[in-house]
Amino acid sequence: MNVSHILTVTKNEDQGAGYFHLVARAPELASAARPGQFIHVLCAPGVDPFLRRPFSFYRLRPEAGEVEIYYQVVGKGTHLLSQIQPGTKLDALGPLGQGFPLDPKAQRILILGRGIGTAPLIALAEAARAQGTGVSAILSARNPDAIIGDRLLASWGVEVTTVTDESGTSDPAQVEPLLAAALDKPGTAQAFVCGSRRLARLLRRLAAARGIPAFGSLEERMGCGLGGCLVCACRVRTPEGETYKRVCNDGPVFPLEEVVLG
Amino acid sequence: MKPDLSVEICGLKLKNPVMPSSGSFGLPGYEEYMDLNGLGALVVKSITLNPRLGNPPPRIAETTAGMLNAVGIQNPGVKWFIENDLPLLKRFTPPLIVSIAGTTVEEFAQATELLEKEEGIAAYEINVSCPNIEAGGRAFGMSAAATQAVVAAVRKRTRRPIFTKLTPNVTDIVEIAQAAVEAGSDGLTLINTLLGMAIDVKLRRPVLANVLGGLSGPAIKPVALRCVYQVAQAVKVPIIGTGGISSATDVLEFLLAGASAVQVGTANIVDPYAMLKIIADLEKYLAENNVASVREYIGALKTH
Repeated sequence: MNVSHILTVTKNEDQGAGYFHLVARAPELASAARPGQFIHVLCAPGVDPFLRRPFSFYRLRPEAGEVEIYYQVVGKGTHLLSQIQPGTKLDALGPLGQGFPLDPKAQRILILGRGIGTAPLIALAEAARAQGTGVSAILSARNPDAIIGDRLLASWGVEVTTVTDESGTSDPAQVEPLLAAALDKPGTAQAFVCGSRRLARLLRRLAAARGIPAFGSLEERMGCGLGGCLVCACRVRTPEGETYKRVCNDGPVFPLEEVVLG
Repeated sequence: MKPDLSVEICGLKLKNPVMPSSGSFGLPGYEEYMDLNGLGALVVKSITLNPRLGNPPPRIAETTAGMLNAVGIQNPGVKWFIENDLPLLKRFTPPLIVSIAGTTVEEFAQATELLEKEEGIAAYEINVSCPNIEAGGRAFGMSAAATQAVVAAVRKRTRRPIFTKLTPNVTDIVEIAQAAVEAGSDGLTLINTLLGMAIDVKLRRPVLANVLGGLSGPAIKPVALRCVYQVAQAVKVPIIGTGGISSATDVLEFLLAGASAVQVGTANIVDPYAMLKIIADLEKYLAENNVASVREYIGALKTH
């Protein structure tokens, strides 16, 4: 399969809090991709910045032939990306990685996102709602402006709980009862987390106690994105002992019980 | 008329002079994304006698026109390679070059012995130059005597061609190249990464968990060209040039400097299709410039 695509940017808007929302026309990609997978984007031509930047899908809209990402400006690459005007062509590899293993028969799932890490969970929630699966959402961020996807989720009938550093509600100790209550909702069959290792550890503990399979989408500095260069290592437990897997190709979604969350 | 891209190096017939550098390109793996039979040769990531976990992350740091890596030769070991990867890799038509690494001379020797029993391997690349395998960036290839010991140990155990991959992190690369050739290396691969580091000012910490790493990419191309040129003046064996190659004209520069074939490494990490594009561009360039064979460039540098 050829994973090289030229995307045409149709929208690239500042959403405040350092976040941008980029929509691009890429019909093949939109049809092939699944929630939890990502695109590996050349943010600018030339050799500075030199490497691609990986972005999980925020929304997949095959009917419109479009893919959407939500990103935070953190360095040179994302800064240059934020300057791109609609109509610009983008060189991207994708869809890459293993997506979320959404159970087609799940009655309900839980999503737990922090900051920009919420982005891939929105694509997952949309797919869940489309198959009739209920979604419970707990979203965490520095402040209310940095919560993403809450209105979209609400429009799909998802009950969203938000916690923030600013209101002093986002500490894992305070999230714990909220998360426990959400996991205890009848029919919760799977749980998914992204954006915080602390929240991932919390979810792993609470989900394991309830026998609910839990998955996290991980982040690591990435090279090729295709599993060839072995730089985006993630430490995992296996029956033979601890080893490294590739975030790009074995993940980015891993069962939480498998990963070593340092 | 279609230009001839084929080259021959130590008895290996390559349909074109372009192959991946060890560790930059998933073999096996990338057959899922493209036709590997379009490449001049296939070079696998370095294999060691025993499995190696590799270094903790972060293992990569972006630099100006390049990158640092400190993977640390993560690999499943030679037995796993023989049982799982080799059967898949044998199915492709380009010659297969197996890269061997180790932390002792004996490890190189034992790995070679195991690989020797297998069919489908065209040649070995002896990686004496990885800066991430020993503390402080040390490598066998930093000493002529140590290089000679490794090459001699492998030579004793195989009649297959050996390419010794050298490090630029030395005072005089010619001396090391001569030592490798004297010990029986049929060819040389020049160069491995340059030892480097990156620092995060905000955190006041090294970017790489391993602190030091190997610099690669367009930033090192002038150093690689210089090494190929110097060594080509001094030894008679064929050279595979590598270091920052990302275009067809880069390939020709290395051939002019004295290489008979080239490896593309870091460019694959930015674009997995880089080599196929370079090969197509190479053919186009030769056609446009009425050059019948790419071999016309090998060692044809005019210095007067």
